[in-house]
Amino acid sequence: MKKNNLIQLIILFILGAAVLFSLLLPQLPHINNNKEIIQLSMILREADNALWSNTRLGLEQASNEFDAELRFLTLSKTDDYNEQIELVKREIDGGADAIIIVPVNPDKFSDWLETQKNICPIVCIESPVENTDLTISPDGELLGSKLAEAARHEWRGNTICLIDNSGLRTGIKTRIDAAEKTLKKYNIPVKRLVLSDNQIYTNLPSLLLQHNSSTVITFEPYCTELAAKCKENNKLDFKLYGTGVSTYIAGCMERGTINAIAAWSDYATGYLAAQNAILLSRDKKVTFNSLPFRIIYWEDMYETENEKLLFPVIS
Amino acid sequence: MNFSGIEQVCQNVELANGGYIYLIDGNGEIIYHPKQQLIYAGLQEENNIQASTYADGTYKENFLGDSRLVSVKTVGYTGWKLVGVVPNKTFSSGSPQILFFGLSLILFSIFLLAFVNFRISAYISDPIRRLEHSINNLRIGTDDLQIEETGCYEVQRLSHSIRSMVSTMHHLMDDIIEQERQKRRSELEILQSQINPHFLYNTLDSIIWMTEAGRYEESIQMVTSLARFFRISLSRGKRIIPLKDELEHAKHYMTIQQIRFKNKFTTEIIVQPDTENIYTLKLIIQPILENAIYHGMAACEEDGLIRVNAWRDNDDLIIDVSDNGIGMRPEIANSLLDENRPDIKTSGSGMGVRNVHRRIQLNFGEQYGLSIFSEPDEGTCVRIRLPALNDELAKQMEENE
Repeated sequence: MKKNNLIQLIILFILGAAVLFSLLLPQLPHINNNKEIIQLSMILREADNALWSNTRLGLEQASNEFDAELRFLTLSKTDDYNEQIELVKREIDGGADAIIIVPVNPDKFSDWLETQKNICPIVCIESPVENTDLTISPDGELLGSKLAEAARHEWRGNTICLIDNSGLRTGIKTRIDAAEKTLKKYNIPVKRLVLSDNQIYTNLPSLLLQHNSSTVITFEPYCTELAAKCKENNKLDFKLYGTGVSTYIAGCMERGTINAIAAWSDYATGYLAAQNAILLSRDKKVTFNSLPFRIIYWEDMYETENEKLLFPVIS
Repeated sequence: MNFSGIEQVCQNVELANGGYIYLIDGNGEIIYHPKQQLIYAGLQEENNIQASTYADGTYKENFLGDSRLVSVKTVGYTGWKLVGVVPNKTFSSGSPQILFFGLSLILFSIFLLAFVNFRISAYISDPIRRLEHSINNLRIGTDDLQIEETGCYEVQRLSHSIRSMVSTMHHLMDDIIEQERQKRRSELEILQSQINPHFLYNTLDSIIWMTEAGRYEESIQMVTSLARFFRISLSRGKRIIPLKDELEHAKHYMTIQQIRFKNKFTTEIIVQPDTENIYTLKLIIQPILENAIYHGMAACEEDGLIRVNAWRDNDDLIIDVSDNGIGMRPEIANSLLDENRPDIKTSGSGMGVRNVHRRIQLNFGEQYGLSIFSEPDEGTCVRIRLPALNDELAKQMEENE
């Protein structure tokens, strides 16, 4: 009788322990890890986030899918490096698990990162930064050379102007360098116009006249918008090859102001940035080469695939 | 309806296993898809072209290695198709939390079932086990046996029946023991009563003979001893008498027999000092003496000696009755107390050694009784072993009787 009782007690103990174990198992860190809510911060370089609305949708979609909480932060003053660094510090101190950043000054940011310890995964958009984990952007060299090729096809024999508003942004500079190199390869005269955003609208007409140029290439969306605005408002006749997608750019293409653009999905940029940042924060390996892009000529803008890029579905 | 309207309608539809619905036109071009932008950006794929070929209904398809159920419904005159997609996930491919919760639930159910099962089986089997234990105790003869009437109704009834049966059995056993005791007592009383006729006849015959021969002194002594002998034999009906009375009884008997046998033998009664207040069964020495006279002293020529020696051995009383008679072979001596040995008729009192032995054992147990040591031509010693009864124990025994 005592033996039977002992066996019963042992069976009950084992079953009870199994119940407790199965209840505690999901609470164990390595089991529960992939269900932890990730704190994700997106830090822009601009004060205005209008150009990033589509990117934001992608970020939000990925955050929802991969259980992350997204904070979308802008600077009070565009391209203020110090404020951006302060924001990064604040977010890290506030417990951010990963940061997505459009760096104002990639080189300085890289130097600053080198001095930091125990920093969370950082994913860059637009310009690559050393000491960060990943950069989500189209291949800068390929994009620059493709735009140059597009301009070369309709070249009028005079100088092609490349508007350089990159400032410290290495990603944009790479595109410009690649375009310049490609055009020079074909012995096409190239003039690199280093202008600030404010100077583009005001100085572009005189500079084109000065350099006898009827072709302009821009390498980032805001610059493209400014150049198109300048062309339309001043009724100038030059071929404009731009970069990026916005409602204004699509409208300019429709009106023939912009001859071609290098377009990619901002939504995909946001989605991939968030997805990879979340995976990195969960110690998963990620591989990413570059964002696919497409050169869209204004004549072909209503082709189905082009429409999908130029007129993204925004709810 | 604009895009937002379509989106709102489609977003609010929840399908199992993370399923979703999307809207395509007749050519399979996506009008609405929850991940439309990802599909446009080439980051995700949808089987929309294939879905456009489906007629209304539900289909099982494999897309990018995943099995899923696809329901297609054509929307009115537009030719658009509303496609519902439900991944064919198994339980194990779901969230590990759900898996663990399910596992916990199953384990807890098993735990609960096992616990309830053990409790129920214990409720039924424990009273049966206790009953079995009680019956085992009954089998080995435990006194003061308690049979509990617990457990379910059937076991209670069974326990009650067994309890009644045990009670009845005890009563019957007590009755049997009592009847057996009465029977033995009657038998012994009959045996004891046999002493009187033979002995009395022979003694009276001797007295007559001595009186006729003018031996008045001896006749008086014999009559006196005979009177004393019978007074002690009666002892007011007591079974347990003081040792000194029993020895006096033996002495008077020997006095009578010595006269009868013309002093062919002498008698020595030795009492050790620590035996004064000891009680003994009545009439246990006389039959041994009678045996010694008739069998041991038969061939003696006035040099016979019968010695009675009473002494205490711890809690026991030992009375040795020894003679220097003809003795016997040890095997014969050993067989004298054998229950299966046929009775040997003697001309003595008629109450044999074996009867004394049986009386002692009936009264005090198997460890007491007689032992006979004898060698041919060496004599015989009969040892009586009894419990050394004090006054209190003797009274208690008498009361029990």
